[in-house]
Amino acid sequence: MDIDQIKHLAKLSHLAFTDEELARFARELSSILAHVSELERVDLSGATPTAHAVSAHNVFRKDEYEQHPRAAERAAALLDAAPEQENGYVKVKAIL
Amino acid sequence: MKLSGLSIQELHTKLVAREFSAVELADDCIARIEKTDHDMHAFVHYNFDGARSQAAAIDAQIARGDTLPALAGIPCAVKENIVVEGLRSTASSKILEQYVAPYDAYVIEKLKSNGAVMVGKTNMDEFAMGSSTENSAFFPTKNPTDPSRVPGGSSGGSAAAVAAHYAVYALGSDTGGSIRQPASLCGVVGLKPTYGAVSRSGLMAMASSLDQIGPLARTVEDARIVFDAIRGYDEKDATSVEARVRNSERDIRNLRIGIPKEYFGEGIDPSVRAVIETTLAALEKEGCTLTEVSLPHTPYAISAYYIIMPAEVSSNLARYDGMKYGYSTHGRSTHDALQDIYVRSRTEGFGREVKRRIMLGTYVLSAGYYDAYYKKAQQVRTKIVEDFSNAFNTVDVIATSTTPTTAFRFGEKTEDPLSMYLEDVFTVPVNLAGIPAISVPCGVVNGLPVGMQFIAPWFAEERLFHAGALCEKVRGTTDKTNA
Repeated sequence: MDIDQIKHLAKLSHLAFTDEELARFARELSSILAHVSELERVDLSGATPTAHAVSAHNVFRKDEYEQHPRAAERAAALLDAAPEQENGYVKVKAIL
Repeated sequence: MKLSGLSIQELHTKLVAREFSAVELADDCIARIEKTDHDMHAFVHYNFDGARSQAAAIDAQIARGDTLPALAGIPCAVKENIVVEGLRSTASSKILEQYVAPYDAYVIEKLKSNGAVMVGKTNMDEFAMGSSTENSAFFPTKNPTDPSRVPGGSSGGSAAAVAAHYAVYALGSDTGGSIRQPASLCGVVGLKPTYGAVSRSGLMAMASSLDQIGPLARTVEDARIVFDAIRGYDEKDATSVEARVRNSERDIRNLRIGIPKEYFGEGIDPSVRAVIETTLAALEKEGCTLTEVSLPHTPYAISAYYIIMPAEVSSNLARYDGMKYGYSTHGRSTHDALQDIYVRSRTEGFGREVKRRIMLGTYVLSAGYYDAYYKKAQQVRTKIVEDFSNAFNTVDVIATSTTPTTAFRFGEKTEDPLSMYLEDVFTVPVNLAGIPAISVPCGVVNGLPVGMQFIAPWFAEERLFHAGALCEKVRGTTDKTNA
């Protein structure tokens, strides 16, 4: 794995690295990938992929809301966790 | 009266008989924490006032003559990635250093309704990524059996808290061994329940198809009491299921134990293997049948795990964006655009191991590599599930060492991530298959605890409790700490 690939991954991951860190990640990820590439040697003919080991099925709930007894307090706590709020909304930078 | 070292049932009986109060019991743990935790660092923060008021409420109930659950008034510790309303819940990450949880995890709701007394939140590897607690953004935790060594991880703080008698039991989470491995290294019991047996609502997601909450305790019986209190269906976790825990259909005297040959070859320390083999021989004398079984895809489990887990990590940790909660550079500079806040908040907030796994996960999921890595790993996962299914056709439980070695020294594995990853070689296959497993202390090597891992089929936790109790009987509980 080369530095350009690491830079591309960093961009996709929304992370920034120094040159030294980029080199370190290139080295470490290459070593990990070399190890996990042993899976190429496994005979997987006919094996279906498993995403969940215990059978998962979709669960629907009714499209109804339930008034929480402490709804206002909870909403305030959620907003307080954000760096900036205004009129009951989380305030963020312009997206466009 | 010496309160440490008593089981949950013994403490319960004495509390109800008013031999001591719940407040005295809480204060006993708090005094021990205040005496030594400044050095041990099992906790990221304490909840002493909260614990005392929870205990006082239990004392009032006892005074009224109310019937109380076994856990009422019993001090416990909670891992930092499980949210407790009003308490900081940091996952031992800088990105959540100031985060105060606005709600209770489902398991916390359950514990509170059982009258639990929570003395504090325990240290861990950041976002549960690690096997030593050295990846905590704050400080490493020491192993109470030998402070020059790691307690294991990621639930290292929980294991240390139980081993040092700071709490009677603790909650941890296990994605690839994070309950069982520290339990083994600290000489306590650790249970990873069947995937879905315990709701993950309120557990900070690491790898959602693998994560599971479970107890760490000093005895198998204590672990069973805690498991019974926290399990069950929760509508907030669609993968949780109602108590389908099966009773053991087989008489315990005839327990059939499978010995997977792949777990006893290279890679296990010979002195650890000797302790495991001695214990197995003792179990055979107790009437258990030992049968060699084969789990042929075990050698590939770590590789499959280190593809699937980072893939899920890279997706789950995308939520930490500096917008809604957590560390943020929002407001630092008016020139920063949205993108700058994303990148700076994440870059400054996450530690190195977290970044490594996000990068790795992003890579294996990216176009052109998906079939080579992620799909292949999921196919191997199928093979691992089949291996276990086949083995359980002939045996009731499978026994292995929980870890390849005893507790290692600080810094020993931090420079080579791969060597740290291999620490999970015996525990990871269980998570990939979604089955339950327990680590039970079974002896020591040079004074350091060795854990026996029992593995059972889906929802057959009862078999683990039977096997674990037998193991305690033949080997005795190894309580190395003279707290």
